[in-house]
Amino acid sequence: MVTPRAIGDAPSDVTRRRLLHGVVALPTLGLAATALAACGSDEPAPEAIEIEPSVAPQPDETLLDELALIGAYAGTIAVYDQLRGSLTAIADQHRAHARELGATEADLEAIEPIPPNAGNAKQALANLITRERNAAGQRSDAAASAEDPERIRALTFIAASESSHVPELKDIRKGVNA
Amino acid sequence: MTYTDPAAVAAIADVIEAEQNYVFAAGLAGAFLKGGGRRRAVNQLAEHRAQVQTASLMIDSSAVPQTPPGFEPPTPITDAKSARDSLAELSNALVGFYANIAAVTEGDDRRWAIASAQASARDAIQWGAASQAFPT
Repeated sequence: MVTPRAIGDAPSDVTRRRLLHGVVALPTLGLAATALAACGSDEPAPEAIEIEPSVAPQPDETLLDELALIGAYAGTIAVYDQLRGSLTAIADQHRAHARELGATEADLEAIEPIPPNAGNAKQALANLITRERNAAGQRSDAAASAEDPERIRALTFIAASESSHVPELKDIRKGVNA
Repeated sequence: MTYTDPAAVAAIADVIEAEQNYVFAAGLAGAFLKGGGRRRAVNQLAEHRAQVQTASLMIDSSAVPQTPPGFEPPTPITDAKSARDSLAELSNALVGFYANIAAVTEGDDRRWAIASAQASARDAIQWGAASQAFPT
C-alpha cells in the first residue's frame, strides 16, 4: 500500500468544501468590496498604491474528482440498495484514494450523495462505469504531469485501481436485472 | 530514451524480471486452463514478452536481466483455479513495479508505465481478483 503522505500543494479544507458545494471564492472580491466602500464617501480618493493580489489556493482537481466519485457511489447506493453489497467495497477504495490525495476525515464526512441520473440499476452502473473510465484517464494524466516521484507513484496506483473498477463494474452489471 | 540513473535502471530491471516470471507463469497456467482462460493466457504470453522487449530498450543491454531458467510462482499452479489465482496475484504485483518505473521516468516512458500498470490491474480482475485501492 502507498504510504499516506501530506500533499504540499493541497488546498485548505475550507476551499475544498466551498468548491464541492459550488461556491467559488474570487480572489479579487476583497479588492472590489474595498473600492465600492470608498465610492460616495466624502474622504479624498486614496493614492494609488500597489496591492499584491490575494492568491487563492489552487484547487486540487484530482482530489475534487475523487470526492465527487465517492458522492456518486453514495448516491447510487442510496437509490439502489440492492447494489450496496457490490459497491461499498469500491466506494471504500475511493475513500482510501482521497485520503492518499490529502483529504481529511472532515472532507469525507462532508460529501453529499449525488443522485444517479438513471432510470434503473443497470443504467446507474453504466454511469459509474463512465465515471470510473474518466477518472482513470484523469489520474493517468495527473501522474504523467506530476513532478514529485511519490505523488507520481501514488497517482499511478490510483489510476490502476480505477481502471480495474471498469471490468469489475461490468461484471456487477451483468448480474443485475434492469 | 536510455536511462542510466541507478534508481531508474533498477526499477526497469525489476519490471523486466517480473514480466519474465509472468511469461513463465502464463505458459504454465495455459496447460491447466481451457476455453477463454486458455486463450487469454496464450495471448498474454505475447503481450508480456512485448513488455519485456520495451523495457529492455530503456536501459543498457548489460543491465537487462537474463531470462531465468524457471520460476516458482508464490501461488503454486496445480490446477485451473490456482492458475487463475496465480496470474491474478502476479498481475497485481506488476502494478507496483510499473508505478516504480513511472516515478523515475518521464514523457512517453512514464505514460507507458502508467498504462501498463492500468492494464495489469485490469488483468487481475479478468483472472478473478477483487479490485484493490492500491493493487499489490
